[in-house]
Amino acid sequence: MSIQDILQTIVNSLPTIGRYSLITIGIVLIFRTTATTNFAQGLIATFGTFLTTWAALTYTALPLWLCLAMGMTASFLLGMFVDVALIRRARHITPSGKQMITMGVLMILVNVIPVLFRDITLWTRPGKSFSTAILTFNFFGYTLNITEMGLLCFVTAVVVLGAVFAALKFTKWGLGVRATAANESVAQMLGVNTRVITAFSWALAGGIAALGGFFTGAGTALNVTLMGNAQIYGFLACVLGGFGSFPAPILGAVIIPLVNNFAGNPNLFGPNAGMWQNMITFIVILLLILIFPNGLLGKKYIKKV
Amino acid sequence: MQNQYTLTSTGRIKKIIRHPFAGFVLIGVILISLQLIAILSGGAWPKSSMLNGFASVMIYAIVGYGFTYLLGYAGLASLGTAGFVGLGAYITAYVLRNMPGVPYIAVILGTLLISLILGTIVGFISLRIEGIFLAIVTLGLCEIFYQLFSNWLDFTNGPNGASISKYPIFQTFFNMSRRDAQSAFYILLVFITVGLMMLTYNLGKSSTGRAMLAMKNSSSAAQAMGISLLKYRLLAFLLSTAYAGLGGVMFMSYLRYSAPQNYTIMFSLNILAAVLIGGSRNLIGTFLGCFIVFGMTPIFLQDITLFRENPWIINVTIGAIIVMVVMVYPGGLVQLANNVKSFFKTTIADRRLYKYGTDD
Repeated sequence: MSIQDILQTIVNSLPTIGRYSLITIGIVLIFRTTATTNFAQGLIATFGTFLTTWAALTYTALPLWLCLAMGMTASFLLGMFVDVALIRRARHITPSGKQMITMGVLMILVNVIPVLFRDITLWTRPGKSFSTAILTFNFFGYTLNITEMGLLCFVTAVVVLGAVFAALKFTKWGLGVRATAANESVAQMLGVNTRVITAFSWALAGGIAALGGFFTGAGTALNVTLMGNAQIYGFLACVLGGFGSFPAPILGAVIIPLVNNFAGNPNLFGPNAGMWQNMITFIVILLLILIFPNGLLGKKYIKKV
Repeated sequence: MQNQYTLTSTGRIKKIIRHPFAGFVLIGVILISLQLIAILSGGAWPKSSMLNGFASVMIYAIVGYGFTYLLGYAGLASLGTAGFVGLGAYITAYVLRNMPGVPYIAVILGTLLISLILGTIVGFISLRIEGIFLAIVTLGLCEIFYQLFSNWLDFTNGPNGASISKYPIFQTFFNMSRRDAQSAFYILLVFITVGLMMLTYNLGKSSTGRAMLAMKNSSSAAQAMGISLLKYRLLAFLLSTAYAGLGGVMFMSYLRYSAPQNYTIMFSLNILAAVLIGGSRNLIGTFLGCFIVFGMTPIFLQDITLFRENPWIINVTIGAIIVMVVMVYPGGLVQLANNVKSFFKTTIADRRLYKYGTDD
C-alpha cells in the first residue's frame, strides 16, 4: 500500500467524517443537557431530509438552500417538540427510562415517515441534480480526488461544528448549556433557565442532524433507514471518544470513518474487503471501547452510595 | 372438630388458584386447547395462520423471558437480543440441513453452548460499561451479527435466507405427516414455554434473583452488601443469551425460514417493548406484551381491512404505548390489572361499609 493510497483513503473518509460528526454533535448536546441517549436522532434527521426532498420536488422554483432550510426547520421543531412534550416531563425518570422513551419515539417515526412521504423515494430534482464533479488537487506531489459534494459536506461540517463550539464557549446560551451539563438542579438554582436551554439544545441537535441527513441522502435513493448507520456510528463515536466532554465524541466520529475506509480498502484486504468492512469496523470499535471503557478522552466518575 | 391443617374443598381450590404457577398453567391449557379445537374441527377454527401467530408469540415470549433477567432483574438494557436469536436459528438451520444424523437435542444443546460462550464475551463487555452505554455497545453487536448473517454465504445463505424442509423430531424421527408434525411441535412449544415460565419465576424468587434486583437498584450499594457485580451481571447475560439461543432454535424449527432482515435492530426493540409493556418482571405480563407486540397482527388484525392495508397503525400504537408505559405507568399491564383489582376491592369494601356500617 503506497503513501498515495493511504492519503487517498484519508481524503475519501472526509465526507463521511463530516456526516458522522454532524450527527454526533447533536447526540452529545442532548446527552449532556438532558442525560438522554437519543435513539430517535437519526429519524429526526430523516424527517428533515424527507421534507427537504418533498419541498424540492414540489416547489421546483425554490432554490435548493431554501428547501434545505425548510427541512432543517422541520427537524429543529421536531427535536424541540420531543423535548417539550416528552423528555421535559420525564425528568424524574432514570436515564435508561428516557432512553426507552426515545426508542418509542423511534418506533413511531420509523412508521410514520414512510406514510407521510409516500411518493418520495428518490433524491432527484428535475433539471437541478447534484453536482457529481470530481475535484483533483495536488498535495505535496500526490494527486488526490474528492467529489464536489463530499468536499462541500466536510467544509459545512467544519463550519457548523466551529460555530457550535464557539457558541458553547462564548455565548450566554453556551454558558447555560455547560452549567446544565455540569448539574441541572444547581444551574436552575443559580438562575439558568434550563427548560429553554434543553429545548434549544434538542432543537439545535435536530437541525444540525438534518443537515447531515441532507448530505447523506443527496443523490441517492431515500428510505426510512437512511440514517441508520450514521446513528449507530454516531453513538459508538460518542462512547469511543467519551461522553464526558463536548469535543471528545468528535474524535470518535473522525476515527470511525477512517477505520471503516481502511478496512474496506481493496489494496489492503483483497477484493472482498467491502463485504466485511462494516463488521471489521464494529469489531475494532468494540475492542477499543473494551480497552477504554470511559472513552479515549473520558474520565471515570466514582459514584457514592 | 375440624383439624386446622386439613383444608376444606374451597380452601383447596383457593390454594391452587393462588399458587404462582396457576396462571402459567392456565396459559398453557388455553394454548393447547386452541390446537386441540383446531384438530377436532379439521382446521375450521382456529385457522392455521392464527395458530402460527400464537406459536410465534410463544417463541418471542421465550426470548422475552430471557430479557426479563436483563431488564427486570439486573436493570441492563441490551439491544443485542436479535443477534443471539439469529445465531440460534442459523446454527439450527445449518446443522439440520448439512448433518442430518445429529439428534435434535444435541442441536439444542450445541446452540445453547455456543450462545453461552458468546454471551460470556458480551457479559464481560457489559461489566466494563455502565448502564445506558450498554444499549449503545450492544447496538453495535447487533450490527455485527447482522453483517455476519448477510455476508457469510456458506453458513447463512445470505440475504436469500436459510430454510429447512422438515419439522425436526416429529417429521424426521417419528415420520409424521407435515400437518401432524406442526401440531405436535406446537404442543411441544407450549410445554417448553410453560416450563421456562416456571423456571424463570423460581430463579427470580431465589437468592440469585434477589441479588440481581439489589444490583439493579444501586450497583454500589449491592457491592457494599457483598454482591459480586461480575458474577450476577454475567449470569444475567448468560441466562438471557441462552433463552435467546433457545428462542432461535424454536424459531427455525417451527417457522422453518429465517432471513437476515428478521434480525435487525427492530427485533431487539420489539422484544424490549414487549417486556416493558407487560411489566418488566412479570412473566404473564411479558407473555401479554409479546402477544400485543408480535401476535396482534397475525392473529386478529390481518382479517381487518384497515389494519391489513395500513400495517403502520399498529406499530405506531406500540411506539406510543412504550412512551406511555415508561412515562406514566412504569409497572406496565400488570400494574394496570392490579390497579383495576384494587379499585374493585376498595369499591366493594366501601359499599359494605355503607350498607352494614362498622363493627360497632
